[in-house]
Amino acid sequence: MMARIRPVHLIGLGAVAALMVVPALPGMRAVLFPLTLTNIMATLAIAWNLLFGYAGLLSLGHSFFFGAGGYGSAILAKSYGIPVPIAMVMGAAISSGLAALVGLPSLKLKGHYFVLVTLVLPAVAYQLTNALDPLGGHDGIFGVPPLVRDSYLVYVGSLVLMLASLLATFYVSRSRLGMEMLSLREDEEAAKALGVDTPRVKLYALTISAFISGLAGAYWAHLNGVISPAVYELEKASMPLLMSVLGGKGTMLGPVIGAYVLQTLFESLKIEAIVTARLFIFAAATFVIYRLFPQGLIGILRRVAA
Amino acid sequence: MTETLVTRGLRKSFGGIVAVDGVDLTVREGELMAIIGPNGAGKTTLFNLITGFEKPDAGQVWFLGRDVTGEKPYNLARMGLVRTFQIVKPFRNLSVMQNVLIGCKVRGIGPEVAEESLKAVGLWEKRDLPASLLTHGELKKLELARALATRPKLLLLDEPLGGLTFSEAEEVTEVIRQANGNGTTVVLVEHRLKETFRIVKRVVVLNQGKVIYDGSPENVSRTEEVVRAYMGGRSWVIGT
Repeated sequence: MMARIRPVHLIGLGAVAALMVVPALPGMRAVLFPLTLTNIMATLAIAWNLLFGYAGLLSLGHSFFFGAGGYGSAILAKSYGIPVPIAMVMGAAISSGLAALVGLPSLKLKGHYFVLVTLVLPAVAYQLTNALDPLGGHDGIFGVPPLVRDSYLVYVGSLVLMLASLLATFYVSRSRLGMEMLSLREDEEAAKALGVDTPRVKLYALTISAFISGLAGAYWAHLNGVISPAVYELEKASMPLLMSVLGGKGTMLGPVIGAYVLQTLFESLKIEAIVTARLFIFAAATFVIYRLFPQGLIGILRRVAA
Repeated sequence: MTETLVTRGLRKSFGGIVAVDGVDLTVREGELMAIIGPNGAGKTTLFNLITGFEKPDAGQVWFLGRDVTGEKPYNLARMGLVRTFQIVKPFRNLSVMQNVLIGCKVRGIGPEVAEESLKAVGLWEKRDLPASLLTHGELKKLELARALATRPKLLLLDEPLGGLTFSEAEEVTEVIRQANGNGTTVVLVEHRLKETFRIVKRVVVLNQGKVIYDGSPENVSRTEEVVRAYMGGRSWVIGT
């Protein structure tokens, strides 16, 4: 069945075209790096939203999967000379594997205990990477080879990564797994009563989300050329949550819109005091928007359009 | 007639309270029967034990000749043992249609069955509305439609008439009767005896976790022990 072309599709195509062309214009080089970061954070937010917005599983520690992918890819590329694109995919697979390892016991926990496990994960990873020399210790891993040298191509790569993650969300949400995830989010007991194998659905949702997060983390490591335990600090764990809720959780584009708004604010507000307090400010703003519009900015847009 | 469901010596206690106390129950293929009893008699716990939502302390459950004691609820549902809940559990943020489609998808049944069951309960016109906008009566019907759309072999309905108006209850009993006519074995737990007794041929009465009556609806109110359980000893005719 072919989907009808609607105005929203044209707007989407236009947005992608603009994102491809505008940063390539002369004098726009300065925005390439922040926009690349934005796409990476948007990808992380998409992964987080797939888990919480669709399957209802709240993770407060997605920086763990982001960092696992980053560390995995950085070590594979630097120490073992594996080509960067392959190392990135392998890093994401490591993140997915760790997710399965953590998920198998913890997803059986009822209520908020899974959330608590995710909260602890980055803290444990922080200590481990700090203490273990093969993982670079406190200073982390330097000289991580870049994906490509040209910063415009790196930017385009990040855009492709983000769009591919969106596409993955789209296909998952249309699949049987996506329906099962929604039923799990809405009411676990009712889902079980209808035959939804909820432990399996949770595990799939977590490993897919961890894979995408791992890819984002790998991209980030190769972009910066360095990855250190700082990746496990609060920011990378809380930003995908704030971005998704601000943009509209459980919607396809919510995390992307949230990421672009928050990263733009972050980049333009270079006043020291605000930068220091940014997480607090973003959290407060996100909370207010969430109370007024549970569907986030997407919800506001839909109301305006209707 | 073959046996669809058999329980033997099913027992479950919570702390010091024995909720289900050695229940032997046999449900034959094609039956339409009711389990009744005063509040706290163990009806819902019995459903939970049969459908795998709780594990029995002792006893066995056989479904279609297979020992399924302690089997996971979703595996039982896939085998065709499907239940509804006394307190409705709709997928509130999904459309009425999506609510019903999930069960179809899981069991590999075509979407036309979802349409069929929504039409049967009279919710087809509201298929695109989010379930959160339905009234209580409509949610009860949705709960039933969702279970029917999985094409169950055995349907356990926990108070399908609870909180419904008289006309709604009439519609729902008709849907249940039709589902049974189409070959689904149905066991319902119900407090609204008048409507229930109109469609069932067999009644099991539970009291304090034990079966105290198993027979026709006509004779139930003439059984002294049942009357005592319900009315605390006063002579009363129930269900009429």
